Amino acid sequence: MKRMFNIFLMGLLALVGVTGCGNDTNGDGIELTWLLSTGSTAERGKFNDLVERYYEQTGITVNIIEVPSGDRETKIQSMLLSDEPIHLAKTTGVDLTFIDRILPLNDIYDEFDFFEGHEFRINDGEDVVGLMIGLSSVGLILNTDLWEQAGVEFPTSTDEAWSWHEFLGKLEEVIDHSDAQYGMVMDGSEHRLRAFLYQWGVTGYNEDFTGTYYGSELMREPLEFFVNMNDDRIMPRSVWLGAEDSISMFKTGRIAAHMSTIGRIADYNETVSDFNWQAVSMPYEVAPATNHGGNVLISFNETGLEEETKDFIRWLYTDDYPALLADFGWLPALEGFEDIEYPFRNEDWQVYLNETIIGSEMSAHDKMGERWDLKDSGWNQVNNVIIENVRLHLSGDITMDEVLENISNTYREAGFEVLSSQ
Amino acid sequence: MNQHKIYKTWAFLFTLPNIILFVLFFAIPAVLGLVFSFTNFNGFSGEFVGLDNYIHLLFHDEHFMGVIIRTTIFALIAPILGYLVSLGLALLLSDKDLVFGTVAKVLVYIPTLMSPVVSAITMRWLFGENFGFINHLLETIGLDPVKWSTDGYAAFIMVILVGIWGAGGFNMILILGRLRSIPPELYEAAKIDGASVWQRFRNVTIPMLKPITFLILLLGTISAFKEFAVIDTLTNGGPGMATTFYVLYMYRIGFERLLIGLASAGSMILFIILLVLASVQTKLQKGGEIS
Repeated sequence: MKRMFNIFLMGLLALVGVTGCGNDTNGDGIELTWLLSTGSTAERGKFNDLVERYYEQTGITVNIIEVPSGDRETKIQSMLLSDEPIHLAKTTGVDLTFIDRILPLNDIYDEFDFFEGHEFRINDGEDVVGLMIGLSSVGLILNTDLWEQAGVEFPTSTDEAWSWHEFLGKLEEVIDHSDAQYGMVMDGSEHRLRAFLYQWGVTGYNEDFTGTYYGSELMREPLEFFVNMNDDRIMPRSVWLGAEDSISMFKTGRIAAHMSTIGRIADYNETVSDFNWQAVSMPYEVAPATNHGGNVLISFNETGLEEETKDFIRWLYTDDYPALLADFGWLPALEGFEDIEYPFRNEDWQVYLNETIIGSEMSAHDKMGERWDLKDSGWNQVNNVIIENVRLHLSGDITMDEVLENISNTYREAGFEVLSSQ
Repeated sequence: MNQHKIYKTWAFLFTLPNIILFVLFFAIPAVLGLVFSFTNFNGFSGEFVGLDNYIHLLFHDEHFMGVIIRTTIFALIAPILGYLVSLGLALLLSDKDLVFGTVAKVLVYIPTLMSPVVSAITMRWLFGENFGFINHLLETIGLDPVKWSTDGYAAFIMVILVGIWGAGGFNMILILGRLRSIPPELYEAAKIDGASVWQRFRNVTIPMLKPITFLILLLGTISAFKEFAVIDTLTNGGPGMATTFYVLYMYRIGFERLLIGLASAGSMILFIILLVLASVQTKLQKGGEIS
């Protein structure tokens, strides 16, 4: 009896183990797998609603796999290597490591009026492999209570935008005459720093993408200006030197300005009630400029469902594109939707949209350079090289000369010529 | 004999899942890591490069030696300080008649149950340089706030404090268990011989705690060498590279730059370091057996 019981127990354990290892598959109907990252539970809910609507209209199931943004490329690689089904992904760029599995989307690109220059291309520009579903960009949000308390006016249009030197002076005034503890915070991200560099006229690549200006003397003045701002008065050093969260700091209501992405509008609309805030035009030293973020759709070949995947991508642009943009808080990637009405804080969205329309040239050109036939040139080597060296300089480990030298050496190793003038 | 074979078979079957998991999730990845360390594998393709990765790390990487030295210092200081704190807590809470002793032990143990990332996020708030609670307390009592994020030494100390907080409860439980197993006759004999409290502690308690002390220090040192989640969440390796320890540095090489071959070589070097460390500590550990 005891022996029988033991055999039964072992069998039960084995069955549980096998069941636990098995995949839950639905043999009926077409299923696509969409890998993405979201910023919140609410955003995940919106994606769920989106794919549910697609199922109701077409009977095709789109399974969402959500991963943290930092693990996204790793997850894609592992799924491709292990032949797990993955049909499309929403990323911030095209990781050229798995370039052989990426499906060209030229036909979709030709069908719609995309804003030129935001698509991702390879093979000398011949193949479009990544399409923006909606744009996000960098902008400036002010704590207007502090500015009004200090009696300092702020720009209400791009024509009134400050230069960075003027903006610095205004921040000093606000700090001196209000409860502001710091002038501004900028997210500790190279993406934001690049927007800053564009505003100083420093772009990444020359016209034919054979050379770069990163690491050149052109970067010295803006980088020194940025480093000097990190003085624990204008900007807290703990954001760029430590791991302090700029978003949480701005929400304390003690910081006059926050340079961050469009995602802050929805975030602050929900979470900030202690003070008034508003998006305004960013400062610029040479020309208005912003940097775009990624809501890039890429899809994969050798899945057997390439056409179904493309149909889903088309549906995203045709179903109710304005509603999609308003729901997710994205700027339009297609022309003709500039007068879109967002469900809340419409004026703030319009500021970001305006910044995108007038200041996107350098950003679009840069992104083209980062993805154009970079397969053998080691794009991952240059990833974040600017922010890493700026941080080392902020901590006193290296000089500005060494910052520029390290950046230029890294880009040279990646196959670019470092140019000295634009 | 037949019965013995049956017992052996059942024993093998019961340990089989563990063996399978060990092979799948440790042995195979370890062998793969060793193989990758001799290639320039980037996740998709790679070629054999011999010892190039090891040579690059040991002789050409400008940050590698600094990372090793920094990690070694951390791995020497943190476990020792952590042990001393845990020992103090165990001694304080070892009295069976202590009021609310159980509650105190549970409170001290709770951090051990928390995810390291959750602990680090919580601590990031507490140690926030600009709006953190600890600096707020310091300013309230008239002291200057500490630059926890922007000063390398302060950030290093913060990481050690968080580590002690996280592991203190677990180590305390281990020491408490060992304390309770020390024969009381030893203390009585020492008392009869006129030993003071300190002398009894030094000549009875400390020697009898030797096995558990060795275990805690060994595990703590290995854990310190492998620390990643807390560092990445708490300081992201900053300011500069002040808290960039070994595993975080390898992570950046392997997952951010996709130089998986190079990162694998780094992992093998770490394996050798830990092997040497464990061997040395094992040789130094003697005594403290309770018969």
